[in-house]
Amino acid sequence: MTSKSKSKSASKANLVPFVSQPLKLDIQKRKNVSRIDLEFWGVDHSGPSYEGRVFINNPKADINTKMIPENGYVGSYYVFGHGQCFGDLGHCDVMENSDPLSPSHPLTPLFKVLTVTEMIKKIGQKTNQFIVTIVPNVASGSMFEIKDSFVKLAQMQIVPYD
Amino acid sequence: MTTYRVNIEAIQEDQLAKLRSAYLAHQQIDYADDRGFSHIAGHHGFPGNYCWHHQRDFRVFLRARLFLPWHRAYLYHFEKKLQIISGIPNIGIPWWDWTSELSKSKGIPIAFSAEKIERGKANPLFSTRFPLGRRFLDPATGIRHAETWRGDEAEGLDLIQRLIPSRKELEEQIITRTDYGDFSDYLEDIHDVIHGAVGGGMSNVPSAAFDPIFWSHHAMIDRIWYKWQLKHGYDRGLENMMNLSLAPSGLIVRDTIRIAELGYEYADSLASVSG
Ligand SMILES: [Cu+2]
Repeated sequence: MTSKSKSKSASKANLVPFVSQPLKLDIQKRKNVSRIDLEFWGVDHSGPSYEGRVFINNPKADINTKMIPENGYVGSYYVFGHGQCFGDLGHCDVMENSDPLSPSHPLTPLFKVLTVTEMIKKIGQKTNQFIVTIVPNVASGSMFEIKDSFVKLAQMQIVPYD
Repeated sequence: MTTYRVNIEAIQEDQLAKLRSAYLAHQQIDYADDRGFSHIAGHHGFPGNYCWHHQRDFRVFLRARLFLPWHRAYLYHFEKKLQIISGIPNIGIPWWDWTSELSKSKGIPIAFSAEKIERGKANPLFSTRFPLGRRFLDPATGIRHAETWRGDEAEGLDLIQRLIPSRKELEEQIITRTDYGDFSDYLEDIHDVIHGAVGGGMSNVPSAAFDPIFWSHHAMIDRIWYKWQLKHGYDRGLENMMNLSLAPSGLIVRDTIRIAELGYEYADSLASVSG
């Protein structure tokens, strides 16, 4: 194809994946667990739209890593982003709002969840530590400037259910 | 008369021609006229910033999920003004079924992806101008877009194939997700993927509603909610939110729960002649 599309994929390769601290969980002892969720709280969406490709215990995963279970791939979440701030100063600052039934600010960080039952159970046979890598795949033609990483979130949790 | 929203993949030629002329007339209205396409598109992101998407604050457990009713009211408002401006009283927003076999193999339907229509005219379902001389800078290419633009089609198709459920999978989810909040979040996640798969201006909240395909993407979302309501009850999950405002449409949640009362219906296609 054209050189334009080449430079586009090159820029995607420059985006730094997010690598979490290890989450500790002894799952092999929990025999009654029927579902395991991986939760992402406070995900920033002020930047471009992107697919977050989620890999477990594969901290070297990048945009070229195949999305197969052998590589620890457990699924993707998708963020519909704002691209950039178009308003005046302060327009995109998130204001706290404690009333659950009133609108929150449009840039209030969001929540995403993946159900990862089988992979956590499988990996959990050998280890009680889970490192989560999020590889961003930015939407084509999305307005964004390349930053080291725009994958930002407040908290990540593994939640087994019986 | 009921407004029929039809499947863009099944739309008849004469209906498509009507639809194009209606969108074109609507898009030609000045931004200062609040009935026009660009003024209403501006409510969603730039400059109005009214839209409801899935904000969930980890400090607050409860959260009003107004994503579905807000967009239903928004589409209703848009459709009414489209009908008035175009003078075609029952013209409806077509829906784009991105779970269809055609969309899963080809991506965006031709009615939206064709840049030109007959005699080399620009396709009003492909693109429209941003208002107020606004240009959106795409730093990846350095282009300043005065009109809506799309992303790479192959990248979009890859997302649709990997992350959008098949029709059968979706139907199963409609049945098994009995909790409104759970269902709304599920649907909104799928919705997010399509914004990114269309790419370009559609992938940014501030510019998304200017892309003519936005309305058909959301008609599909609305149609899925309607199917869910038929299975699980119209007001299920909204009991505590009935009186919340869905600004700037002028509607409250209660007004949106029955589409029959809003005067529209989802059909596959339509054949019609005047008598
Ligand atoms: Cu949307």
